[in-house]
Amino acid sequence: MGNVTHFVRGPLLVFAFMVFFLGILRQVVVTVVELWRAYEKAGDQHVPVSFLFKRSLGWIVPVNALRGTRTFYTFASLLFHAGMLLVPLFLAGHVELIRKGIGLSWPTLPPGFSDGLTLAALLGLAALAFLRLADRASRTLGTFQDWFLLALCFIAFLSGYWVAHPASNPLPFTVIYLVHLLGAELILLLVPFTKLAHAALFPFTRISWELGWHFVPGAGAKVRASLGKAGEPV
Amino acid sequence: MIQNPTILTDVTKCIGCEQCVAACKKINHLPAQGPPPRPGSTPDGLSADRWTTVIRKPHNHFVRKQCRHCEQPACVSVCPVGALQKTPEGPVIYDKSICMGCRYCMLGCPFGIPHYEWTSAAPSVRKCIMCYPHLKSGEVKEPACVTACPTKATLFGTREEMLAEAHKRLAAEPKKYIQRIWGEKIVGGTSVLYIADISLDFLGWNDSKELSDEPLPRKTWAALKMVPFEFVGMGALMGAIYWIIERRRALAGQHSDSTDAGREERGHGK
Amino acid sequence: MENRRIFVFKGILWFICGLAAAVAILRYAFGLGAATALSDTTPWGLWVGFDVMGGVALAAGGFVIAAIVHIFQKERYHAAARPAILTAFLGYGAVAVGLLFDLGLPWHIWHPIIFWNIHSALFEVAWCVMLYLTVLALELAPTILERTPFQRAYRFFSRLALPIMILGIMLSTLHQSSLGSLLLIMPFRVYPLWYSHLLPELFFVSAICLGLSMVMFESSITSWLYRRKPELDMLSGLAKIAAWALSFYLAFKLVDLFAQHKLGLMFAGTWESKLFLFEMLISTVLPIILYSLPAVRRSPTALWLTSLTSVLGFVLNRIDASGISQVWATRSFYFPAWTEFAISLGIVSACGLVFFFIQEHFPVDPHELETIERERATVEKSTPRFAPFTQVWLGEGWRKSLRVYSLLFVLAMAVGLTLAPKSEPAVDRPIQRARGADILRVGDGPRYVYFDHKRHQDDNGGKQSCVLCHHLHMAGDVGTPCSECHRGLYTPTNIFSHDRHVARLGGDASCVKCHGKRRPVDLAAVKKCSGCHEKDMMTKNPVVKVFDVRTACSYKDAMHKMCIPCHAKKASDPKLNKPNLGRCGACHNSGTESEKIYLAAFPPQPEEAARP
Repeated sequence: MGNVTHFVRGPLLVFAFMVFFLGILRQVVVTVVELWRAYEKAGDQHVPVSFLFKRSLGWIVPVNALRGTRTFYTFASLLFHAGMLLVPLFLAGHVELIRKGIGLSWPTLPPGFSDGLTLAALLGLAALAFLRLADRASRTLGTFQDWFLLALCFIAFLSGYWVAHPASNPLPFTVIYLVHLLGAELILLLVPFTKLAHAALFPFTRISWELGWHFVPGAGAKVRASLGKAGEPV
Repeated sequence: MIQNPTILTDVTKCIGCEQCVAACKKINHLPAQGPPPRPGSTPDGLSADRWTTVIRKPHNHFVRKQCRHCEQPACVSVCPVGALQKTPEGPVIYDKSICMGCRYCMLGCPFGIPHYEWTSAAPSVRKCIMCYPHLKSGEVKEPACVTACPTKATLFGTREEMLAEAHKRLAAEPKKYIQRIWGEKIVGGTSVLYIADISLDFLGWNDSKELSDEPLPRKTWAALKMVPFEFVGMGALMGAIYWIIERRRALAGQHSDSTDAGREERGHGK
Repeated sequence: MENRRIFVFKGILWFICGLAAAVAILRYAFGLGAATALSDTTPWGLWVGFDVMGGVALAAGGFVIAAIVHIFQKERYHAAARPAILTAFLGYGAVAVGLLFDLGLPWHIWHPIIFWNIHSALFEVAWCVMLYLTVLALELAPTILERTPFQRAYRFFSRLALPIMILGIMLSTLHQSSLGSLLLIMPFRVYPLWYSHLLPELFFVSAICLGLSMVMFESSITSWLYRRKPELDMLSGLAKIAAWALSFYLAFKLVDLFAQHKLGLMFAGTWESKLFLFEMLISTVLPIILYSLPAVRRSPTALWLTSLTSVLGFVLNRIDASGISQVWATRSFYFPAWTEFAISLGIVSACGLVFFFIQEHFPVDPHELETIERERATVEKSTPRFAPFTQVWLGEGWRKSLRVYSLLFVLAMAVGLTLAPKSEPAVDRPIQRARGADILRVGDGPRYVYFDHKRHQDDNGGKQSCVLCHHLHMAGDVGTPCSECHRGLYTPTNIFSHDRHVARLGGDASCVKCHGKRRPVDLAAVKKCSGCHEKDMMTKNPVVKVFDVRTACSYKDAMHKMCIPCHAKKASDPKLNKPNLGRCGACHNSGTESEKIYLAAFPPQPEEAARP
C-alpha cells in the first residue's frame, strides 16, 4: 500500500500535471492552426469580434443568464464551477503541498469557506445530474462521457471532503486518500482530451461556432457539381 | 612577479594538516562545502571547489596534489579556443569568457587536474592558477598554499632556485629520498616539483606509465602540421582523377550525363 | 492517409523527439550534471562518442558517394548521390545540435571563428565541420531549388557542383582524420589496442568503410518504408567496393598493431581485448565475408543486415576509442544516463523526420516524389471534420497524422518530465575524510557519504561537543565510525508505519492524537516520536560498532587541527623568532608513550626503507 501511495502521489501526479499543461498547450496550438485554415476557407470572412468577445465573457459572468430561462440549471452550474475553480487552487492543504513540492505559494481560502464551497459543488453536481435526467432532450443527447465526468468530479470532491475531515470518513483513510488522488489525476489527464477541454478552449469554441455558420450546408456537393464532378468522392 | 615561478613540495615534510587547502579556498573564494562528487568518478579530493588537496598514502605519507603548470601544457594545446593560456611568466590560467565547455582539457591533462562545475547551468573549468592574479598585482609574494604551510613542506621560487634546492636536499640525505625530482623532465617539465621518499607516479593517469619526457602537444602537432598538405594534396588528387577520367571519356567518344555538373557544363557550352 | 509503415515509423520518431524535448529542458535548466552521468574522470560520454564522433563518421557517406559519382563518374550509383548528400547534411546538422547539448557553454559555440588555437585538433575539427556544413548546404541547394521558381539560382548552384564536391572531399579528408588526431595526445588514457600514431589515418579509412555501409543501409531502409523496389544493382556494386575498402582497413589495422608490437594484446583475455575483437568482428571481418558472397549481394535483406552490422561496429569503434577504452586508465565507472540516450536518439529521430520531410517535398528521388504527391493530393481534398465534443475544426483527413504526432510528442514529453531526475541525486552522498572535507569514504569500497560537519557541531552543542566524536579514540586510530552514533546507518528501512499507528491508536478519529488540531497540518505541529517512545529511542551507545566505517577524524587529527594554526602563526612571527615552533619536533619527542602506540599501529615497512 505504501508503495502504491508513493507512486500515486509522486510520479503519477507529476505525469498528470505534465499531460494537463502540455496537452492543453497542444490543443490550443492545434486549434489556432486549424481555425486559421478554416477561416481561410470560409466564404464569408467577416468575424464579429466584439460580439464573440461579449458572448464569451457573458458565459464567464453568468449574472444575466441567472435571470434567463434556465435559472436553476445556471445556478447549479455556477455552484459547481465556483467549487471546481477555487477549491483545487486555493485550499490551504493544496497550497501547502505545492509549496513543499516546488516552493511556490499563494494566499489560501479559510478552511470553513473551502469546506462550504466543496459541499456547494457537490450539491451543484447532484443538481446537474438530476437536471440531465429530468430534461428529455438532455437525457437523449447525453453520452457516456457526460455521465462519467459528472461522476468523476463528484467522487473527487466527496473523497476530498473526507480526506480533509477524517472523522466523518466511513472508509480507511489510505483508501479514500488514494481515491481522491486518483480521481483528481484522472480529471487532469482527461482535460485535454474530453469536453473538459473547454476550460482552455472556450474562446475558440465561440469562434469555430461562429465560423461554422459561414459554411453553407451541402457546400461540398455544390462545389463538386459546379466542377462537373458530381458523385465523385472529395 | 618573478619569471617562471615554481612550487617545490617535499613530501617527507608534509604532515597532512591541509592548511594549504584552507588557504587556497580562502584566497580564491571557493565554497567550503561544494556538491558531492559525481557517482562513478574516482575522487582524489580535487574538485571544482578544491584546487589543491592532500592525498594520504600508507605509513603517514602525505602528497599534495595540485595543477602542475607544465612547461608545455597539454590542456593549453588542446583547447580549441585558447581559453586556457600559459602566461608569459609561467602559470596556466583560464578565461571563462572564451571557454566553450568542450572539456577536452580534462581529457588532455595527464594528471587529471581540470575539474568541472557539473551542477551549474553555466559551468566553468576550475583548477589551480598558482594565485596568478594575486602574484601579478603584487598582493602576495608567494601562493597562498605555500604561505600557509606550517612545516615549510612546500616552497616557492624560480624554477632554477627550486631545482637547485631539490638537488641539494637529495644530495644531503641520499638514504631518505628517492633520487628523482618529479616534474623535472616529465612531459617536458612542470612548474610544480616534488621530492619524496615514495614513488609519486600515481599522480599521473595509469601510474604515469605512458608518460615520457616528450611534451604531449608534440604528438598532436605531428599530425596537425600535415593538414595543409593533406588538404591541397587531396584536392589535387581528386581534380587529377576527374580530369583523367573525363579526358578518357572524351577520347572514347562517349559523353556521360552522369553528373549535374557535366550536364550543365555541356548545356552551357552549346 | 499516409502509408501505414511511414505513419508508424514517424510516430515513433515523434515520440522519441518528445522525450528529448523534456530532457532538453532539464539539461538547460540544471546543467550537465543533472542530465548526464558524466564526471570529472569521464568528461566525455555518449554525446561526444555517439553524436559527435559517431555522427561525423556516419555522415561520411556524403563524401564517399560524391567521390564515386562525381569524380570517378560511376553512373550506376547516381541514384544514391542526392540521398547521401542529404544524409550527410543532416548528420552534420545533428553533430552541431549534439554539441549544443554537450558543450558546457553552448552559447559560445561560435568562438572557434574568432579565437584561434591551431595546435588543437578540436579547433581544426570545428572549422572543418563549419565549412563542410556550408559546402553540404551548397551541394544540397540544387535538390531544393530544382522545382522552385528560382531557376537561375538552381542553374548557378548546379554549375558550382563539381568544385564544391571536390572542396567537400578535401574538407572531409581533413576532419575525418582529425577526429583520430583528437586522441593522439592521450596515450595515457586510450587503451593500447586503440591507440596508435596512425589514428588519423585509421579514422579516415574506417570513415570510408562506414560511409559505404551507411549509404547501403539507408537506401535499403527508405525503399522498405516507401514500399519501393530496392536498387539492387547499385547496392551490390557498393557492397563490392565496401568489401575492398574493409579488407584494406583490416590489413592496415593489423599491420599497425604488428608494427607497435601489440598483436599479442588482442588475445590477452582482458575485457578490453574481448571488446576489441568483438568490434573488429562485427565492423570488419564479418562484413568482408558477407559482402564477398554473391548470394548476400543478391539479397536486399542480407545487404541491409550486413550494412547495419558494419555500421554498428564502426560506431562502437568511435565510442570505444573516445570513451570505453579509457576506463582502463581512470578506473572510473560510467554508463550513460537514460537522459543521454534520449537526447542522442532524439537528435537522430529529428534528423529522420527532416529527412522524410525533404524526401516528400523536394526531388531527392524525383520518381518517388511524384508518387507521394499523388497520394497527398487525394487525401487533402477530403471533407472537413469537427471534434465531437469541443466542436473545434479538425481539418482535412490527412491532417490526422499531424494530430497523432503532436499527441505522441506531448505524451512523451510528459513522460520525460515525470521521469526527469531531480537536480541532485538523492542517494550515496559520499565522504572522503572528515578533516575539512565533507566527503567521507566508507570502508575501502566505492561508497561515500556526505558529512555535514557544521551541522553535527551545531546539533551536538557547538564547540563544546568536539570531544563527542574526536576523543573517542586515541592516537593511532584512524577515525570514529559514523555507526557509533547512527546505528541504523545504511540499512534501508522506513521505520515509521503510518498505517500501523492509525490502526493501533483507533482509526481515523485518532489523527489529532499526533497531528494536533491545527490546519493546515504541517510537520511543526506533529508530535515527535520520542514524545511517546522515550524508552525505545536509542540515542547513544558508544560501545557498539556495527560496521567498519571510517568517518570523523581521530584524536590525532583533532589535536593537529587545534594546535597547528596557532603554532604556525607563532612560528612566522619575526619578533618571537622561534621558527621551529611550526615543526613536528616542537611537540613530538621521541620515545614517548604515544609514539610507541603509534609505531605499534604503523610499523615501518622494511621494503620502503630499503629503497634507494
